[in-house]
Amino acid sequence: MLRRLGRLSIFSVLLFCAACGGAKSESERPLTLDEASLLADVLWRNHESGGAHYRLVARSGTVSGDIAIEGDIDWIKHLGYGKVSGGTQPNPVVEVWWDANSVAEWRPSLEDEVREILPNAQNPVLLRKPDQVKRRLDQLLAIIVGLSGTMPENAQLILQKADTSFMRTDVLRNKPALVFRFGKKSIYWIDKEEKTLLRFEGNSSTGQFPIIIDFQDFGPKVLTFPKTASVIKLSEHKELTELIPVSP
Amino acid sequence: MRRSPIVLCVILLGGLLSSCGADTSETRTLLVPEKYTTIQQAVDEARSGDLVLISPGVYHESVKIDRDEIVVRGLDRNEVVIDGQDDLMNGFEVSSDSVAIENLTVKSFRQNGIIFSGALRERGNEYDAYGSESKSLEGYRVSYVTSYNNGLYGIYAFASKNGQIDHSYASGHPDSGLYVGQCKPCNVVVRSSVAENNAIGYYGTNASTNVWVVESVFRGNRLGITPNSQDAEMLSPQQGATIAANLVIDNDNRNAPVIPKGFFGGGIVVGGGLSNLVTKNKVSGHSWAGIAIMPISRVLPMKNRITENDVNGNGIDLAFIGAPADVLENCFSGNRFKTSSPKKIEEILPCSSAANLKETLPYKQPAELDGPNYREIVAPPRQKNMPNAHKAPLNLPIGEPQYPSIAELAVPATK
Repeated sequence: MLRRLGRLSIFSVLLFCAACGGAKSESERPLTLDEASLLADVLWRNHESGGAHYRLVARSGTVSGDIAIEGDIDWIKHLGYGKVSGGTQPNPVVEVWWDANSVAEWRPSLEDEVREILPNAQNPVLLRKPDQVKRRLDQLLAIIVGLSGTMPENAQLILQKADTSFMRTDVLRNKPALVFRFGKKSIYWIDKEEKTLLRFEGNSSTGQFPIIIDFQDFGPKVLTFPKTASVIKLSEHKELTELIPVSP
Repeated sequence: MRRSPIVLCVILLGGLLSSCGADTSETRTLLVPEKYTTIQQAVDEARSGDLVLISPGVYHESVKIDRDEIVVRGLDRNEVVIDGQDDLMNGFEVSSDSVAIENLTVKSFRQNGIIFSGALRERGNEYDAYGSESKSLEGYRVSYVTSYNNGLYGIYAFASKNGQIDHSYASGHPDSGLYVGQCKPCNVVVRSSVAENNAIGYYGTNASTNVWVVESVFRGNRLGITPNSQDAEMLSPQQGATIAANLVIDNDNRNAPVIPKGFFGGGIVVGGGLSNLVTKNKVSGHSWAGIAIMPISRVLPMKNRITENDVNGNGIDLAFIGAPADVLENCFSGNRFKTSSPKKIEEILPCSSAANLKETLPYKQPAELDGPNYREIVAPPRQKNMPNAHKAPLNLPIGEPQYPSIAELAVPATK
């Protein structure tokens, strides 16, 4: 259903993210109002579109390794689904569903332990509360769902926002794009014609952990959490919690 | 900014097509669509002192005005409609000085119905957006304009000074209907206007010095009027606004569009402002508070005066909350009211002597309530036309507006 991203491709894409939060190039210039208006509008357009298919790659540091997530996001219900690859920790997440209050993970390497609790369930998942402080995966999921807004931002304030500028025109997936630096740690690629967000590049405050999220196939997405019968609440099974590394 | 000799005589013109003896150029009337297919074409052709006159029709365009000293006027306020179709960004974007927009309707733009902004003009290789002194757009006026169901603000003046908004109407905005922001001095008068069914009726973030909001109606919004200070904009803290003789009622409308993390149920709320005067308003029907003073964005309200208002039928009529009272010189005097926090507020925070309150009263923000999509707000009824739109002489907004006299203002007589 979804293409898996190999570790080689993750690394190669991240190499191109050298600009994420990096130094300004000489060609960068202040925004025009039209450009500020585009930026002010783009996350609202995401919301209005209902959802999108996304593909995220992230460098997560030496502890958990690089991560790739690919799936769909529903920006109306703030509900997401993704297939996860990468990461170096044991019992890795392979599929994930999430909303504002919950993260449901399929960790197939824990199948034996899970079967003891739900012997008849198909692909049982582990349900827990989001923890964006300790879990890198949860941080990434929050960024994906957070790239939408219920109303436009104020273009006037974007015009005077520090470290916000027009960077260049470019082409992404055969679409002409306008590339903007939006604050110190974010770069937005906006479809020149459709005005949608083609790519988001971000970075951590230290600049060490760049991420890239590509969006396409904008439109409503029908996503559902796994059925209750196949869900194990981690809060009720401390023994499983101990088998799950903090990150991702 | 640029001033040509023609300006002075244009003001004195009795007819629109007269020429000015002090200048070889004529004052012209540029007709849309008879001579120019679009408003933008006419604006681009306009010179200082020209009138762009628009015939009834629906115009799907976003108009950018960068010519000084022109007037854009519709022949019929209700029949000249600039419609963004929920696709275009702003109805009018004005970056030049002394521009007036009169007698038309703007609707369904993704961002603002009308915006005047000193931040829009290019200055060398920089885009300053300050709004103080010379870093401002200078001279603007909006008269007899209806603005509704736009994605942010109805009528917006940013980094601009010497302005007037009069006889205008704004509804159906998920932020504010009328917004004057980031200017010092603002030198602006908002009068004889109506804002209803917005998240906020009048918003005055960091709008300071000679700010007058008078003789207007703010009803059925989620929050009526709020001069306020915010770190997100420059020139904080806000100071020096006069809110007077307004009818402020029922601004606890759950069927108005919602702004995230917004207030609900307040009539007039001074949020972290300094030296504001709220006087002679009639304020009623608010679930939270009629008139309140409180801190915001870590800015403590200071030296605000609440006097001679008629305040009744609110959750609390008068409130001072969230800040220490004894050192900030805020005061309440001569108001008609029944309930207050603290109790007996005019005795505890009098204008004639020092405050008598040591404790800080806690503030709990009213619960955030869902609201409708702003695009679903019903279109406003027909609004009153500008008198004699065909022949009214040009009135370019040059210099400071005429400020009201507080002595001549009165509490509105009726609800």
